[in-house]
Amino acid sequence: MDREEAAAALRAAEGHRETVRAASRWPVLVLVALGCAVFATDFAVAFVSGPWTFVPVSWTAVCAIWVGWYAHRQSVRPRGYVRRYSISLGAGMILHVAYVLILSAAGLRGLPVPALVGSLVVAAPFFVGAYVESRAE
Amino acid sequence: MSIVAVLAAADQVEFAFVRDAVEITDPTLSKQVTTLEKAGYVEVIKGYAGKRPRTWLKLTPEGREAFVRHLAALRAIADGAGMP
Repeated sequence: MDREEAAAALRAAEGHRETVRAASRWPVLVLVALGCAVFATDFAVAFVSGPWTFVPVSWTAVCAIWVGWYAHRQSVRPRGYVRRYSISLGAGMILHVAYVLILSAAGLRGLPVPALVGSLVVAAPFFVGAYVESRAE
Repeated sequence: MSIVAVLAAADQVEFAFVRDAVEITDPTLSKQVTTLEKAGYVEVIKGYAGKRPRTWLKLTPEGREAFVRHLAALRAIADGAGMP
């Protein structure tokens, strides 16, 4: 093999890598969708109580079902995405529990500013996760 | 080389995606994958999407190491440090 053949083989390998990398970006969409659903759910939860809570919660449930369906259809599973995705999901869930507890304990239900700030904080790990996924090699 | 390059960029890749990316036919890819599997470089995972069977291909750690070595050798040649 001469230098030009080796360089061509390297270029071809990089081309394939780019193709797969482009097809590996789907977790970004998943995490952004989850972040938006969690934000909308948590914001709405601050203004409802009792059985009405199930209405906003159902938005996240529908989004989670869509995520499962969408992920199952993909042809490429990126390296290490489950670990990165789990960190976002775990952090989001912990923050959600803290948000609901603080909202209830401090009597902040029905106030738009705490609801907005709290919802953004809960959704932040998903958006950070999406950013990390978008830059993943 | 092309098949392994595709697999190296992800954890698992579906058979059809590799076929389209490398632009070869099903039987050709199947034959190449069998050879790579026998060498211990590729793992074949069978699954289902609903009722439709799906085949996933995954590079083993040995396959990944061999690919990295191969790339290093190619770089050495391309940079003029290897054989002319």
